[in-house]
Amino acid sequence: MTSMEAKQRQTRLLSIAFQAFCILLGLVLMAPVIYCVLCSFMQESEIVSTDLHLWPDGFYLGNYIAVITQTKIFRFMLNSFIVAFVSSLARVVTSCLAAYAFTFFNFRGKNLLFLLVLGTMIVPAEMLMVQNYFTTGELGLINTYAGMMIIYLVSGANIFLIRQNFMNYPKDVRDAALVDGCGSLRFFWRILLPMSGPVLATVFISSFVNVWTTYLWPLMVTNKEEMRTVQVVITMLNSSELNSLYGQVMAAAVVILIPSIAVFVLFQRRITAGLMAGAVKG
Amino acid sequence: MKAGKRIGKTLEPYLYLVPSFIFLIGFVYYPFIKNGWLSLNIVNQFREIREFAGLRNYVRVLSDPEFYQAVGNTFIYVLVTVPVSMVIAYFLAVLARKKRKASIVYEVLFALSMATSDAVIAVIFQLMYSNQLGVINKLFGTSIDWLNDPKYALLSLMIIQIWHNIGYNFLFMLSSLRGLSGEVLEGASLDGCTGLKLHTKVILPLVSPMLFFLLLKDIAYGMTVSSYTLILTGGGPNGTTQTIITYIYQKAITSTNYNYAFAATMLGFAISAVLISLSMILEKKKVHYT
Repeated sequence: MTSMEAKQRQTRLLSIAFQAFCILLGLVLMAPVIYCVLCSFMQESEIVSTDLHLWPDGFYLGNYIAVITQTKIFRFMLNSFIVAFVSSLARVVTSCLAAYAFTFFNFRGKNLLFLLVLGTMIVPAEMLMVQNYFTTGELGLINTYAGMMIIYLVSGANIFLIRQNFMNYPKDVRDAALVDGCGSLRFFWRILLPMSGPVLATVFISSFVNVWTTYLWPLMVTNKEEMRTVQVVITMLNSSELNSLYGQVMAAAVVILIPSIAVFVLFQRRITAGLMAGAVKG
Repeated sequence: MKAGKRIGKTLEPYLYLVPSFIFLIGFVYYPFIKNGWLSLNIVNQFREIREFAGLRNYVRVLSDPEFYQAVGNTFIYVLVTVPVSMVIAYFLAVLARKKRKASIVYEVLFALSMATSDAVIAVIFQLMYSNQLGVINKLFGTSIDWLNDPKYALLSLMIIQIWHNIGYNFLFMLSSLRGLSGEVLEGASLDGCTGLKLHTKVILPLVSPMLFFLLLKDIAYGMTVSSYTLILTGGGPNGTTQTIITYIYQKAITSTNYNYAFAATMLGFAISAVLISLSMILEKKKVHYT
């Protein structure tokens, strides 16, 4: 009896040690982010000191105050938010409509059209950016929100993912609903979409994080300061024109990281579930 | 009235496809075809066709040592960052597989890098890599100018990429490891299959569809990297961090040399198509679907 208790206690201690080790490993892995947070609370003299200095001497808030008062950080965040939010919403709408047609209708050219959707998934978007930049310019959308969003409004992968989800839905329920006088659009809007909440949330959230973190496209299609997104601005802060201090750049980095990390921590399970669903036979 | 209704019924699915296809055609197929056509012509700085060139643009790009350097760098980048980040992520997923009290804490820590952005991570590493005040040189007592030394610049960018990839790969591997049935694993270990053998003979084949998916995703992503180069090195020093995308970007946007840029884009497509097909062959041989 006592030896068993001793053994139990031993496994418990081992488990605690193991978990402590994992947390430590996680902290080491996240060292760059932690370092960034620590630096954001340092005075400039601490950061540029020649010896190793990892812990801020005091809880210095000057960097954050400088970022808020000297840059239009909230305007940049609003730009990023509008672009990420609206294009993710649009993506959900366009993908759902297309997936609805591909799942519940038979029509001429269906297979060819679906192949065209799949084809877009193999073409790397980055290689199309130069031509798309010209198109955006010809449409007069440089320095506009529409221009910043235009290549994110549809995603072949999202159409595919939502179609996979709709396909689990029994077809006879729709037939029955239509016989009962429920219109096709009404069925889509009132019955199908509410039942597909999880996959729509996944598409929306992963698309939001995607667009929020994107760099090259908003860099290409904006050149006015007030239209910049946070991702573009952060790389310009420590260039000579704005001449910010390291501490301020790190403070701005923290401010920019907070929304995407918050979304990620809150919705981690949902994002994973959606990614998995898309991966199974993707 | 009745005929109109029937036409409406036939048109209905097409109407649902219109919004998607406007953008898929306008921003995927149209630029692809236009780029392909323009690459066969000599264009001026306003992208107006001056004369048909056949494959002359391709010959010029293919005899440009800078292009080979960019392709070579991209290959090194993919060959190093993809396997290394997958191995590290697999190791972390094995550690985190069993659910424990503190699981949620270290799971989030292991996965968190996927919530960060290229740009923010780049400026953090820029400070850490700094020659004079960088924490990396201070920690290891070195005085390497990481981002400006031709020997270390590409390595420095690859370290950032590996770090960034770990979170995403970890999350996938974790959920696929957790999806394995406990009975299979117990049975295998009872049969004397333990340690490394358990992983190579039992677990890896079982999760191979997931590994393949990650491999494809990471390769496709690695082939089109550009942010770290554009933000941190501008392709330098001596072109050692130039990638295919930054080569195209600099030819097209910085120096408006469209003849090079458009041909290089088509070559870039071809290269990534070849890589994707190669991974498909690997899939046929190594991936087990149950």
